Amino acid sequence: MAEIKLLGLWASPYDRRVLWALKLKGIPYEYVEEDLSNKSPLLLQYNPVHQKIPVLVHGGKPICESVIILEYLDETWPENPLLPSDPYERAVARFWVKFIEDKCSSAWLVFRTSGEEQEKAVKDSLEMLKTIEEHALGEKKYFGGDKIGMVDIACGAIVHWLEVIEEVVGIKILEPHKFPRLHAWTKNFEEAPIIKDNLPDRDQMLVYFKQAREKSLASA
Amino acid sequence: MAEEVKLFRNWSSPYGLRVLWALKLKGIEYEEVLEDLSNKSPLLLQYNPVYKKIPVLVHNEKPICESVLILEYLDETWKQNPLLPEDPYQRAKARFWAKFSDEKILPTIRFVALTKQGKEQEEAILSIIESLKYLEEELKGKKFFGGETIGLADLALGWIAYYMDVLEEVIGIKVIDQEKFPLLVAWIQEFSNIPVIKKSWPPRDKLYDRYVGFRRAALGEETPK
Repeated sequence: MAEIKLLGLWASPYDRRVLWALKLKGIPYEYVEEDLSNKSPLLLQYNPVHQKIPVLVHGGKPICESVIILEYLDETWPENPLLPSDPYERAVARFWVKFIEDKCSSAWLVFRTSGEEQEKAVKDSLEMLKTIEEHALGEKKYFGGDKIGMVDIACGAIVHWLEVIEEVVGIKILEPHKFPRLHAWTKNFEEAPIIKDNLPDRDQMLVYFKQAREKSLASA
Repeated sequence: MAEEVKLFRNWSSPYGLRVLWALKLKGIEYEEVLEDLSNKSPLLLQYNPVYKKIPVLVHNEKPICESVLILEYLDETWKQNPLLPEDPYQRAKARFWAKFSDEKILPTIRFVALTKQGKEQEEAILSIIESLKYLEEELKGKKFFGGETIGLADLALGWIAYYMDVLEEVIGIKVIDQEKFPLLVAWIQEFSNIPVIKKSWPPRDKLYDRYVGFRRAALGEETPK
């Protein structure tokens, strides 16, 4: 089998999504940690357009953008599918993945800003969570039903990072009583066998993001 | 069971247009519902409660939202004239360029170059030129982004073949020229010559007025009285 490389950053949720998918599908890979302040020639060669991680390289061919990588993995290794087989159900799953992509920038803004700007970002984040709570989850254990799927992976990365952001900025956003379904889902997801063993170190994350926030506010 | 397909769109949106192209290219019978976005129908709000936007495709009462997702759905449900190739790597590339269109180029021209002036606008134009360079590069050795025939990436980028010219006129800056982007210009001609595409464009003068309106409204708000 052609070799697989994942170019990533341990503290990136987008990178983490791909890692979870690789582990869930039991796909062996080599991990290459990137330093984004000093991008490797490999990264620039494989992702000239965006110069961002994650990049999956399969047999020398690069695939960029975490959601596109997830689709690629699902099509190339169909076991333990991340998407349902029915076209309509697939469209619904992809819709929620896109929704999370479109709206999760508000979580990053909570982290990067302060004052009025941050207040707006908190408000937007709450809206995003509210929509997911009311429309996306239903009574299922996971977005994917009984098994973890693409929406769980996409959402899980953002929610897990949101927990860190909440602690760094001192604002609770995903409150259990406000978002009971999402809260229950978060517990199920983070305790699921493969996910549990592949979460980033919480203390390291807090140090990393505290520093990043300071830098962000200083350059604002 | 008879297939019932409805397309909710409006007269001007490039997103709605790409779904129309896909339906026609695949020979799918559908009913068109033209929305007035200043007065959205209850049905649209029911079918797309999250975004309240067009296009929405409704297939046997089940709504699918977001234009590129609709294209993927159409391709999975109606197999004739495929929009995506079989090979997963080529599929990933097509999706990449569709995303590039909608996350990079289209928003930069529509929400920055069109509606700002001065340095902000200049930077937006430079960004668009950079983006187009990548498209030019991607077209090397190919007639279409999809290869010999048009595919998902062509449909997603297709707005460039008509809307860009109008936007350039409104902004007063020519971005796509033969000298800098010969392959892109050739692609625009090939794409526009496809019968389904040729017949589908919205009226140019109406589109021009619409974009002038957006620019005036945006700058009017920013200009102090």
